Amino acid sequence: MILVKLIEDDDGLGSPPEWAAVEMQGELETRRHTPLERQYVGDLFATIHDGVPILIIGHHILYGKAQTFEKPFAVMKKKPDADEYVVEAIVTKKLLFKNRPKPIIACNSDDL
Amino acid sequence: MDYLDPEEEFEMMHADELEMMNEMDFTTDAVKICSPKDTRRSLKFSTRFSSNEKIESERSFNLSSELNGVFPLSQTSVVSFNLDDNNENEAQPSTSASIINNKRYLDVEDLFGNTDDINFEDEELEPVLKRQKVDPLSDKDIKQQDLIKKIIDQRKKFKSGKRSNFLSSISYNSSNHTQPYESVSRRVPSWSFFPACDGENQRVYIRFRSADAVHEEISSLSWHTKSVQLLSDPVDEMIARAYEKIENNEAIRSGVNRNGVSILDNSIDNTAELWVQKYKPNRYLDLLSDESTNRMLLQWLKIWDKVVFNKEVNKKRKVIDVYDKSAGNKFTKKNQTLDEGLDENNCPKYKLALLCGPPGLGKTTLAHLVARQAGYNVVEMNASDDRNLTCFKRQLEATTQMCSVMSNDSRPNCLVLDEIDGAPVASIEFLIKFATEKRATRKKKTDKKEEKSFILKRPIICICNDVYVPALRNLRQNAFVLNFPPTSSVRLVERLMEISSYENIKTDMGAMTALGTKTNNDIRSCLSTLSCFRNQSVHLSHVKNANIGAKDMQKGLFTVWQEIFQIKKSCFENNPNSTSDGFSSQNNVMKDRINSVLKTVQSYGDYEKLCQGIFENYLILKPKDSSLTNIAEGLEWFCNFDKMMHVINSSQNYSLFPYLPYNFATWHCLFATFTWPKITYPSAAYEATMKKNKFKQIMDELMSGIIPSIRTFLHRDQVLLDTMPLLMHIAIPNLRSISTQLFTQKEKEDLAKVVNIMIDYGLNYFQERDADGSFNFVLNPCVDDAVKFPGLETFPTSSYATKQLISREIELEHLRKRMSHGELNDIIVEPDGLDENEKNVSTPKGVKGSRNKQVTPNHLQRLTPKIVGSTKVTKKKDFFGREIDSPAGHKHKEFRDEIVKSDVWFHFKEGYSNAVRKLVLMKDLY
Repeated sequence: MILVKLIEDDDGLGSPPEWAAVEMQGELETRRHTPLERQYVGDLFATIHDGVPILIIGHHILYGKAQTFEKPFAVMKKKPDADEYVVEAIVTKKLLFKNRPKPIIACNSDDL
Repeated sequence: MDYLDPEEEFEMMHADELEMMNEMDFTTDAVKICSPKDTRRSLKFSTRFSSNEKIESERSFNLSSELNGVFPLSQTSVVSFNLDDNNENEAQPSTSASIINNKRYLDVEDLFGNTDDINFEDEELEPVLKRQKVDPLSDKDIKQQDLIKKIIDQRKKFKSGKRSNFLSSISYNSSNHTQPYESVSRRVPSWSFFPACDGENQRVYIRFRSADAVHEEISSLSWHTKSVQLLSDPVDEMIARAYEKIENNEAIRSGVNRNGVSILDNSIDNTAELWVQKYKPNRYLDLLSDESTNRMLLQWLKIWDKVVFNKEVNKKRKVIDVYDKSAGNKFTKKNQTLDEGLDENNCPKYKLALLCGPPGLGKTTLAHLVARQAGYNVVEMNASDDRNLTCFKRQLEATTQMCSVMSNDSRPNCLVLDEIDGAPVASIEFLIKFATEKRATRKKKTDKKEEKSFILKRPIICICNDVYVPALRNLRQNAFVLNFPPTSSVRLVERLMEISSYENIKTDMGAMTALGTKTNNDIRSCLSTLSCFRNQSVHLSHVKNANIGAKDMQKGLFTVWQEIFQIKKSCFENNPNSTSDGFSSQNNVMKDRINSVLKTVQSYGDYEKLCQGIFENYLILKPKDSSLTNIAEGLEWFCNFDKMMHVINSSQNYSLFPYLPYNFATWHCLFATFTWPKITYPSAAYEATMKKNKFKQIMDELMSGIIPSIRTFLHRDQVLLDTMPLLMHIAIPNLRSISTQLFTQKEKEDLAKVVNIMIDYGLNYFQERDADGSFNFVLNPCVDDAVKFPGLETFPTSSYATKQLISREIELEHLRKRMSHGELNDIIVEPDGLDENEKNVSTPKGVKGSRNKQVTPNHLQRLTPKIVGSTKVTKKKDFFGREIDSPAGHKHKEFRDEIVKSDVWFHFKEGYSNAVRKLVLMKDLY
């Protein structure tokens, strides 16, 4: 499960930031078989009007939809020297990408 | 009327001209114009002028003087007219009268019925006669008088003949009837009468007269007519003769009927009709052919009654069968027993009957007669009909399925196929199919009765001379075969005697028997021969010497051989009268024998076949003398025959052909005995030909297999006679039956030598399976058969293993050579390393393919992508070879790379639509 920290709203209420889980039909692979840790995966966008999430990975673009979990998840962080966990965030929705990705073809004006 | 002497005749002939001359004097201008064609007209003129005799007599003087010049040839006429010149007073009228008479005479002849003319004539002539009688009679006068008298006589005769036509009005004096009486009366007469009416409705009474009286009258008349002699014979004589003839006919007919032969009514004088036709049997009982055969055919026809006439077959007939004691007729007997059964359609088992026998036994007659007797309408097809398949089919169907509508004859048809051995094979095949196959199809379709099933429901009788013609083979199996035995000579002679007695031929039994034997009891031939002796007497010598009667009949092959090898006993029997001196009789017999052999051989024609038969059989027969001189001589004649045949065949010169039969005559003299020869069919020639062809083929194969460098020095015969027999010995290596690796050097060399020889001659061993299942290696081409001559020792053969080894080595050697030709030297084949299995796979191409590549076996091979050399970045260069930067293109490339070459990529997993969703609890897992 990939958790994503969504861009905060500028409401200024001091509420914990909203996170979302990203669920994909498929796998993320690296070309050079390097571990995925700390790697740049792609860009996540949302359309302005209806908030459809769009994920661009490599030359693929994926259109998904937002769903709310039945039970929300809490993102907790263990404090280093005490047995305490700090709730970082509550994840209430997931971004589901289950459709076949569409390729992005780069085109040069020269090539055309 | 033939009583004119030449003079008269001449005068009559030229009467017209004389008249014409007279006329010419009258009309002087017209002389030149007149031509003989106008005689008719001139005659009329003369009749017109005849009344005024005065003028004529005046002119006749001139005429006669003129005539001297005109008719110098006719002396008599000139003389008579000279006479006229001398005594003008008397002769002139007489001449004119004679002329007139002549002319009248002609007139009467022209107008036969003119009685007025005759009356006038009589009155006219009377005074002339009187006048003439007064005159002193000179020679010429007597002549004239005679002439006139004759003319008058003619008149009288004519008159009397004419009157005799009217029987009712006989009223002339010259006859026997003393008192003339009238036959017709207008008043009521005293005699008996019959009343009638005439044309004007007036009553007329006609006299009744007794028949006797009329007869009397007729006889008296006939007496008169006899004197006239109008006919060559008197009528009553002719009538009497006619009665006589009629009586004769009656007698003959009754006699004939009594004896069982009937003659047609007009038989005696109708010479145009053939005797065969005339004396054709008209009833079953009249049949001359073998009684049992006749009966069997009739029975076969009667079996059809059930299906044709819907009558029950009379079972009683089977009892009669017992009495059929046809001598030596086992074959027909067997058929007879089979014959009685009916199949499911109530048809006889055999739908066809096949009558066979030599010509002239009465097969056709029997078929026609029996079919008619059994109530059929006979339809015959013979060789003169068109018998190709289509016509045959049409005719067959027409006769068997239809019935004649136009004629009143409603009898069912019975088809008689005469001379069927000459019909085309296709037609015969169709006939058999027509008769038999319908039965089979019918059996299949028993449930579907409405199916169109043309079962043959009419009997068909086939007639042939030779039943063993190849075309009839199938027919023979499907038909009821009736072999015609020869007619018994006793019956034949009896019948011939009968016929000759009706035809008034004087003959005896001996002559008729001779005729019968001469024609092989051929009735037709006998009768036609007999008809040549019509109205003559026939004796033994006549028959013997006659060239006719012997039919040009071809005898069978075996019969001819038998005749050559056997002396006929009848040759001696038939010449009993010449036994007086032994030498001449011996000569005669020899002559007869030679002649008969010559005739037989010539009629057969196929001399080569005959010669083969003799050549194969003459040694089997019992030799006549122990010193074998006959055989030696006979052999010389065989050589002679062979030479002649060779010349004939090679030069196509058939002028020698007529001499060939004399060889047979000689052989007959040399080999013939009295014992019955057991002759076998000659097969040696055929077998030898077959063998020759086979070996020739083998040699062809061998010659084509020999490699060209050797073949150039070889001839076919050379190979066959010199090379191959020795090669059979050479090509056997002396090898131990051990593994090839263990061979000594010599053995290896031997093997290599044999292999090389065999390759050079294109030989090889081939594996073959025997009839009993064991394998064997055979030389191919199998030269050993061809070069195996009888008498030579058999060739040594190597063992199975050796042959196998050689065969394998040859294969490998071939392969090696082919490879060297194909320049594949780098691949080395290790023959010794190959195991047995591989050797049997002897197709060289397969072996070659598998050996050339030493790579991983197929199942281990994988498709690997081809490594293509990395495309070098070629930098663009300008005209001077300097590199040109394209910055825009470069930037684009980088941009593209940014997109594409991000390290992480998304691998979409589509999943399966057939996934099963199932609840699995944790505890289930543990």
